[in-house]
Amino acid sequence: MSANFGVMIVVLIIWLGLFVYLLRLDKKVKELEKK
Amino acid sequence: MWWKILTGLLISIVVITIFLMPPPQKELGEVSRIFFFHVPVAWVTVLAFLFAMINSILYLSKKDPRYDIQAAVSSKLGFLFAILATLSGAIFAKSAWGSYWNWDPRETSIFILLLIYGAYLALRSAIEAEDRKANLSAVYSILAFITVPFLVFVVPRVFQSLHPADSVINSRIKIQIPFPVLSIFLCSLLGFSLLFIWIYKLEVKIILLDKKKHS
Amino acid sequence: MGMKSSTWTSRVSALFLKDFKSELRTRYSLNALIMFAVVTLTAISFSVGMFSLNSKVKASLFWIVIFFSAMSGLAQVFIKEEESKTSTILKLVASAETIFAGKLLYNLILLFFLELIVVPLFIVMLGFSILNYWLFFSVLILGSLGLVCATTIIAAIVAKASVKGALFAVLSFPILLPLLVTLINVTNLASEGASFSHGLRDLQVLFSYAVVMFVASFLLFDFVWEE
Repeated sequence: MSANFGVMIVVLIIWLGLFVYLLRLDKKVKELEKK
Repeated sequence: MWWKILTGLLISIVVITIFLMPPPQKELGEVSRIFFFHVPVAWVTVLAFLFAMINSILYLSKKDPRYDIQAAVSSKLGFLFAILATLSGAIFAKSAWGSYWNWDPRETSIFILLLIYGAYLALRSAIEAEDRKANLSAVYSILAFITVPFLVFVVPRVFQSLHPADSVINSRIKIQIPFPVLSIFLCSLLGFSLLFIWIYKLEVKIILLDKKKHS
Repeated sequence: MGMKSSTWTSRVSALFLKDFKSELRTRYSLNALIMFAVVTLTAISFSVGMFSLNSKVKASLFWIVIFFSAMSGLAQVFIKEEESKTSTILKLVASAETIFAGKLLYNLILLFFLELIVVPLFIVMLGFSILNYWLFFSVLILGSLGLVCATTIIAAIVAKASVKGALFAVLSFPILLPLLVTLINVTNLASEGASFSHGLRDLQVLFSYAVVMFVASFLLFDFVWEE
C-alpha cells in the first residue's frame, strides 16, 4: 500500500505543477491579448 | 475559466483514487491501474484527429489561416497523446499478455494513428511557404482521415486471428464494470479531454499572438 | 491541335501520351521500377534458396516488392514537371482534372507494366503458385487502381514540398496500409485456391478503397495543384 501511496504523491505533485503552469500561462496570454 | 478549475480537480481526484483504491482488475493486479490513463489518452488522440480533420476541411473551404493553425496544433497534441497511448498500451501488454507488441487490432490502430500524425508533421516541416504548407497539410489530413474507416473495418478482420486477449479484457470490462470503477474512468475521460482542449486553445492563442507581433 | 474543340477523353489521352512518350525516351521511372523489383526479387530468392515458404509469406513478399517499387518509381510523375518548370505551361493548357486523369492513367500503365514483369518472375523464382487465377487477376486490377489513386495525389503533394527525401514513402505508407493488408490477405486466399466467393469480401474492400480514393483524390487535387 505504501508504494502506491508514494507513487500517487509523486504523480499528484507533477500534475499540480503542470496545472499551476497552465494557469500562469493562461493569465499571461490574457494580459497580452488585452494589450 | 471554471472548467479549467474543474479539469484540475478532476485529474487530481483521479490521480488520488487510481492509486489508493484496489486495482480494477484483480487478475492483472497493479498494472491494470494504467487502464484509467491509457484508454482516456487513446480517446484524446482520436478526438485530436477529428479536430484536425474538421479544421482542415474548414481551412480548404474558407482559407482562413486560423483553421490551419488549429489543425496543426491539434495534430501536434494528437501526436504527443498517441505516443503516450502507445507506450502505456505496450506496458500494459507486457504485463497482461507477455510481450510489448503483438499487432492485435487495438495496437495496430493506435500505431497507424501515430504514423499518420508523424507523416503530417513531416509534411509540414518539409514545406516553407505558409499558404502551401496549409493547403497541402489540409489535403493530407483529409486523405488520412478517409482511410480510417477502412482501417476500422479491415484491421479487426485480418489481425483478429492473432489475439483474442484484447477482446477478452474489453468484454469483461463492458459486462461487469462496478460503479466506482466506471465513475473514476469517466472522470478521467472527461478530465483528459478538457485538458486537451485547454492546451489546444492556449497554444492556438499563443501562435496567433506571436504572428500578430511579427506582422 | 485544337485543344478547345477536343473532347475530355482526347485531352486526357493526349496528356497521357505526352508523358508516355517522354518516358519511353528517358526511361527514368521505368528503370527505377524494374531495377528495384529485380534486385529485391533476386535478393529474396537468393536468401530463401531451397527453403520453402508458405503462401502467406509469399503473398506478403509479393506486395512488399510491388509497394516499394511503386515508392521508387511512381513518385516522379509530378516532380519532373516541377523540376523542368513545365508545370506552369501545363496549368495554362489543361484543367486540373484533366491533368490528374492523365497522370493517373500514366501511373496505372506503369504499374501494370511492372506487375507484368514481377508476377512471372515471382512464379518462377519463388515458386509462387496461384490456384485461383481469376481471383488473383481481379485482385491485381483492383489493387493497382487503389494504389495509383492514392499514390498519384501524394506524388502531387510531395512535388510541391521543398525537401523531398523519403517524404513520398512516409506519406504513402499510412494511407496505403489498409490496402496493403487486404491485398496480402486475399492474394494468400487466391494462392491457396480459395473460391471466388470466399475472397469476395476482400474484393469488396479493395473496390471500395479504389472508389473512395479515386473520388477523394480528384476532389482534393484542385487544392494541391492550384496555388
